[in-house]
Amino acid sequence: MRVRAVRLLPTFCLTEPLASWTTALPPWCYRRQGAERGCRVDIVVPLGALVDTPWYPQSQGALGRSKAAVEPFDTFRPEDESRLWFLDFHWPRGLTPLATLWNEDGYAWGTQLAAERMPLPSGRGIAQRMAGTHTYASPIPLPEGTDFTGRAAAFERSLPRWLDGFPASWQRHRAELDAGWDRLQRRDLRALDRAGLLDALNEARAYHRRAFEIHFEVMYPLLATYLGFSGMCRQLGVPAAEVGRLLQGYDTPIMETDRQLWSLTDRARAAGLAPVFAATEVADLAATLDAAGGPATTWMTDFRDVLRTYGWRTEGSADVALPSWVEDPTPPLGLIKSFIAQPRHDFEAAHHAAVADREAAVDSARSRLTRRETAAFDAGLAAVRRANFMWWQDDHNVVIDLRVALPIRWVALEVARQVGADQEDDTVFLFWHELVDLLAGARRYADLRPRIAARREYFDRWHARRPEMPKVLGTVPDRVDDPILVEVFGLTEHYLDAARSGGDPEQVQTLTGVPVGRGVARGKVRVLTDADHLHLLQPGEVLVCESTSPNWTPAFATIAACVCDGGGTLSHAAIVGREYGVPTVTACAIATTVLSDGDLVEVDGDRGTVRRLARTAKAS
Amino acid sequence: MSRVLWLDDLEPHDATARVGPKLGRLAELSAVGVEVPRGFAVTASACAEHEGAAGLTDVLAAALGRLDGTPAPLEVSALARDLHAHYLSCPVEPAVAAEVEAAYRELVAQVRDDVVAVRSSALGEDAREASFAGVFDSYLGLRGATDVVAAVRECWASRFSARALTYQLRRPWAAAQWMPMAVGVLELLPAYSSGVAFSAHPTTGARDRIVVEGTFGWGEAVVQGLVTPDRAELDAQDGRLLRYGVADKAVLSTLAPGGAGMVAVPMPGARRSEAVLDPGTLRAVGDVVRTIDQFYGHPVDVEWVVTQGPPRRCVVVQARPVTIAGPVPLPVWDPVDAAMRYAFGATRSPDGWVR
Repeated sequence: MRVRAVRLLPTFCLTEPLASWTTALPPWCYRRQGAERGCRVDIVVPLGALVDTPWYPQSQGALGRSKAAVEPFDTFRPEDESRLWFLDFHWPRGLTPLATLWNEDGYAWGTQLAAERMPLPSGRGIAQRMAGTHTYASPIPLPEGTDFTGRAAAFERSLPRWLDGFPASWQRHRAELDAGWDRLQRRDLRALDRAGLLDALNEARAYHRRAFEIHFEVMYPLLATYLGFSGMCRQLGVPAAEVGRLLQGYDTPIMETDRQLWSLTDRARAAGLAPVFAATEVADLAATLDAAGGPATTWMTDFRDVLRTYGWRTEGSADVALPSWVEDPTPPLGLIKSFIAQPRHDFEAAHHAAVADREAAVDSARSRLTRRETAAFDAGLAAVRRANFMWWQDDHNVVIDLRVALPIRWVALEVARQVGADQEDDTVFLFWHELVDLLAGARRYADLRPRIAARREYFDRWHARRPEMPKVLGTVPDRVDDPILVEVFGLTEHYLDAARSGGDPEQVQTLTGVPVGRGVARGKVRVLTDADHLHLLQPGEVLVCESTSPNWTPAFATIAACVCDGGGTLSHAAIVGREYGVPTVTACAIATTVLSDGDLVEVDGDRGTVRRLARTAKAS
Repeated sequence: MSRVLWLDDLEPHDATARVGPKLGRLAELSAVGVEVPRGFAVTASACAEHEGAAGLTDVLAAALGRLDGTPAPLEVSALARDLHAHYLSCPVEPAVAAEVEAAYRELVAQVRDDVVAVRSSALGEDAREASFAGVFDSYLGLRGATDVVAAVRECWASRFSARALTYQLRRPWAAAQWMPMAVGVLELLPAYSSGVAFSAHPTTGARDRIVVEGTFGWGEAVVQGLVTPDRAELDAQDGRLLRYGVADKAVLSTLAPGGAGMVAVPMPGARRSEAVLDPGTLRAVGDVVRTIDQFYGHPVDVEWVVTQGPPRRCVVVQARPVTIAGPVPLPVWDPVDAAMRYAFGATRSPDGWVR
């Protein structure tokens, strides 16, 4: 197939408003009908000034220190323009210098190592580049001349054995992760001197890195198996939207946490605390309840007990800059504040409905298959239920993504305390090697202080730019064949089309995405850029966001519908939307750009559309 | 040589050789208990007799000579126009016409209805290597001996349409002779519903799935593409209904007044979106399609009619083999195969997985 590339004029330049990045491209340059027969039209979204944009102040030498399996983590280089880069929705806040440990250990080590070891027939894992504080990701293709057949043959040998061993191997991995966690959590950091803290830091880092080895070693084969099953279903005529339903309704620890929060809500109501919750700002809740005495104090004791088990989670994936609920209970208190103001979410009913819906989907699929087809379908279903990607998505988040960065954070914060830092989290604005140097006595906090301040300013500046970051950069094809990018990241043809053309709030009335949570609902829009503002959600609102991650789960008990810019059928929002029976549409690409707080929308989770019925007065 | 052969009198073993596959198969199926329309064949030798008597034999042989080599399409269509017009200008040999008229009257007496279908059945047509489906004419809904004889001549003449000429020239034996043709005169069954059925999935080739399409009344509107039929898929093993799509059937084929063929009229409102393939119809059609598939040992497509009742009868008016690209693998769950195919876009080749 011939590829004709259309290069757009560079629009990115730091002196221009960033909004110009996403201005609509003229239709002629990306519409498929404009393509010659048999010719794919790639659009090049120029990297422009991103290549020369200074990275974090005094970040020289920060990159390339950590071992990558295939391709190290980096900032953008001119030659990157020949590849497709998509804005990774997992880190909508942006990453602080220390938080880029994720890029090093997760993507540049975990994904690449797993892809090479398995080996993954299709590629070599995920590469990433930073644009300011924001992560762009790109699949690493096999180099020209790779022996695909040999790689596939190795995969063919490894997958069946791996699948047979999955339930047991995941239990072993979980036990290993729990043991590491317990060891790190038990350590009394305050009792350690600098040398002891350095050991603790290295140990926490090793745990972090190991967790991501496990993460991707498990994720790829699970995903490949799910995609195989889903492909077979498609071949058998089972609609794609039904495949997810076949695997829903299996309980996970994330849902268990949600139940605990509702149970705490019940107890708060019973203790007569509803008025306190109603009258108190979220940020003041902990102090107010602690100071109130009587039943409030008893309730806070209960609350903290629950957090000791369920509170080791952050408001985002694998980000050392984020506190856990134990450290900062504002998020769970905010959730309870919103829960207490509405009727109780009936978890049992929702769970039974999800299970009943699953069984109905299975029956419906079988009823449309011949007996021979049913035998193949049943065998595939049994395999993917035993190695259930949907279930694992939530299960692994509890033991990996939501807590894996905490031990590093604890050491970093203890270092900050011991060196008398200005702010308790100053150290998350250091790069890893700087933190190590600080502990080793090779650098002094006083010398690092100016760069910390400059980096805070840099982080805030880029944080504000997040809504304007282009969803895709570089060479954007009109379709992506890699099913991982399609099913997990939601890079459908429609997404790419919308992402390339941008969205004018005045023009766009209907958004199209991937239908993942069934049903139709109307409500007022609440656009959230990150989980910090989850407590602002009012019951019955439509959550509009880049994507959700496990910490967003409790919100699904209160919202009418969910709309995401990114994510495919296997994304977190898709899975939770199904479990909670919330109409959900993902991969709309431009929902957060086009919709505003207060817009009235209708979300059709069966057809994958979001229709704006009325614009908020403020915007119009 | 007989001018007329009754389907009832044909022996399955040489029926196709004598009256062409289209009519011959009906005789074969009748012998294994499949219900087919009653009627007779006007034989290829009756056609030859007529052509000899009318002086057409020499004209046709000369035309064949002119088509030697690779004639240009324009040349073919000019010749077709001349031949076809000349053929229709010659009256049917009276001895042949008289025998056809007599047989028609006997058929009317047998079936107690005077409406018939006249169908071409070229010898060699529908052979698996060269399907002539739809190339030669057929006439449905004729009434009266004169019209029947005229339609028989039309069928003979349809060998000389531009399209038929082109098809015949593709045959390896094209230079030797014109395609001999028999013509069937068959009862036109009063159709409650009719349609087509495939004993294997027509697009995927899956052998465990039967596809049935149908509409109310006669199937002409479907054949002509005027109406989309309802569509059902059945499990070939147990006949279970797997899928049903109700179409908006806007048009109904019905008899033109005075026996002048079929006309399309608007479907009565209530019927447009009513499911036409009821469980009884699907069972009967599914059974008959499986019987025919097993009898021939390869996938078939079948034109069927369910008669107005009571009792409703399922009658096969045509059956022919369908060509399927190759053996379709049965669906089997193999995690490696599925992952390679659907997650990594690879296919298995003799040398291993390739992309």
